[in-house]
Amino acid sequence: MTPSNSSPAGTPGTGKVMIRLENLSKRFPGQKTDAVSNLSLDIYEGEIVVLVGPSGCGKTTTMKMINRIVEPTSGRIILDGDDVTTTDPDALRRRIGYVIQQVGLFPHQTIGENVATVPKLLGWDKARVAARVDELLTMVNMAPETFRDRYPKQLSGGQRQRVGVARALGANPDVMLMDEPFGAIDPITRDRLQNEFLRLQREVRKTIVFVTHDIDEALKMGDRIAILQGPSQIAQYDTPEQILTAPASDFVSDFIGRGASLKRLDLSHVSDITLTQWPTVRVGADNAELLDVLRRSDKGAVLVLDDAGRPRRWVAPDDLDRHPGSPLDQIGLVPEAVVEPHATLSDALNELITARFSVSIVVDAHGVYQGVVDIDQITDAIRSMRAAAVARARARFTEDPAGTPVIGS
Amino acid sequence: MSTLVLTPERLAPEPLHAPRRSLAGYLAMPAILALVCLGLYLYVTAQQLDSIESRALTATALGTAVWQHLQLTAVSTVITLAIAVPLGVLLTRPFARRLRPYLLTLLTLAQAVPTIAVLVLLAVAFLFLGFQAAVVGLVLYAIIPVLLNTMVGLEQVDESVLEAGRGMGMSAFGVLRHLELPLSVPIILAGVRTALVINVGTATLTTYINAGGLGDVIVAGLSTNRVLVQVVGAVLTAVLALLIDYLAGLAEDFLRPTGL
Repeated sequence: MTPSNSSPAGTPGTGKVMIRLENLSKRFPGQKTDAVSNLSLDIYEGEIVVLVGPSGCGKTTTMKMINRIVEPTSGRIILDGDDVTTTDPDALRRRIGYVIQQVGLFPHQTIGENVATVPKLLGWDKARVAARVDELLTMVNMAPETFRDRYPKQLSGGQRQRVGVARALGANPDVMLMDEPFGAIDPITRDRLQNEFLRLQREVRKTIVFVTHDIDEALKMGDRIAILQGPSQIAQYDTPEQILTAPASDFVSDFIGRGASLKRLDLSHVSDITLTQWPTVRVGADNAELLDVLRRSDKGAVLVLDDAGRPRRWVAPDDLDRHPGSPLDQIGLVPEAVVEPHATLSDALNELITARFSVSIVVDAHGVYQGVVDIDQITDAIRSMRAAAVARARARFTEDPAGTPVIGS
Repeated sequence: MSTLVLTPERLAPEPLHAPRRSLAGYLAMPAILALVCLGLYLYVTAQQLDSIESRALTATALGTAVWQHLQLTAVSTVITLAIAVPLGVLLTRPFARRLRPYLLTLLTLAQAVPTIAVLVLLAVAFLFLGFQAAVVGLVLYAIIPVLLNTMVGLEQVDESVLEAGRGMGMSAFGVLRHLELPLSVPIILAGVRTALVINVGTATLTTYINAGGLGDVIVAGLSTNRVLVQVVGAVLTAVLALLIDYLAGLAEDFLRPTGL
């Protein structure tokens, strides 16, 4: 198998292979079969690669062989061009950030000392370590002056995992390994941490190997996803879009589960589609102006904006009759389905299903009205995503007559 | 869309430890022990002592006995620690897995033999008497609790903490020194406390191999049939044991790493 060296378009990586796993195998002592068997995988610089699969598929073992917490039985690990299969494991691990589900903060050390672990191991001087600790804590949204001197026991689960991420970034490693980092956190905090982490990743651009058993988390976090099937097979290694649109096998389809099109909505954002406009008036407008705007549209109500352009109320002609003379921002209905451009289409869909007038209002970061999203736009988006992905998949077959997938084993 | 943001400042930090004892709690035990000693002194001085009693209960005689007793306890405890803690560390390393059950069985068997029997054996079989023989007997008996606590202490350290340490590139020795040992200090200290208390008590028996200590006073009282002398020896031993247990408790409180 010859892994392709080029990173397909549309992913954030530079296309340079950062981690190459060559025919890696691991058989644990006393076992009759391999936990991982003859696995090869290229991981590109600056990408989040998610290893996902059912229990026992060897995803964690594969990840742990990269920093040799689990020593491979055979095969090679190449990190940034260096063969690190037999080099000093401690030195290797200091180059690789490591985050585990249980976090594993050192309970007898303060948050600051925890975060300073790797810089101290590398022998940085005190001032540099202290500056780095504060920088890292700020990076993960934890005020250094508040948290630096606390102990892990005094933090919530979500805060601990943030510290875990900060600690892994300690000496600014190029590569991070994350083993179900958000697995033990409640769903709401998990969602927030995932978003924070993705934002952080846009700044730091690390090469990340991320293990999870949750396909939805994989689709959300991954620039590329490797679906592992048993110890010896990568069922598919591809971008989330491709996996959803063109699953390579029945195993992959089953693993994605039902609702692949709904899941695709998690991958695109409101900012990716063209918004439609809704008739609007300013708060100061009189009834005649409002009715005139309505008459020229095909809608049953107008959206009233305040002087800064923020949506205040839905006002229908009935409301005018019922409250003659009242200011426009005190009658009608308060708009509830409001999303920001970075929201996913699935968020927008969620909002609009329950919303009055079946639209989600889109506002910018300052709350200023931008437009609306309705159900037709979302179906259009699904349709075009599917068409694009099918076209990409077909292009690959036509370019490569053998029809071999780009990566696989 | 508004999101609920919990500002960290609003989450008050939990207290770090269950509050240590209050000052009064710390002073209670020494005060009680001082009162017991005072009571004993007043009781003894109020008695009409005969010549045997007054010879056995001089300040010098009692002082020497207490001093010897303390020496026996201290030396045997230090030697116990010097053997049991490193042995505990060694036995919890991966390479010692196979050796472990055998050594533990052997040591547990050794502990089943009463100290007095060991002392007598040393005296009869090897003509080994006095302070050093007493220390050997005491150490053999106290090793097991310290060793077991060291091993339990090292093994109860959260596996994920160790994995995080190794995963970040700490050496095996670094993990032992900076993570395993500090995190097992509370349990190791509990073992030390047990060893100390065992040694204070058992040291009374070493009088039979001429190693001195408060056992001398008790045995003198027994052999001359003087109840007062026996009581003084017994009360002093008890006071010493409680005092040492109290001091070891203090050490446990203050040596436990913050944050646990």
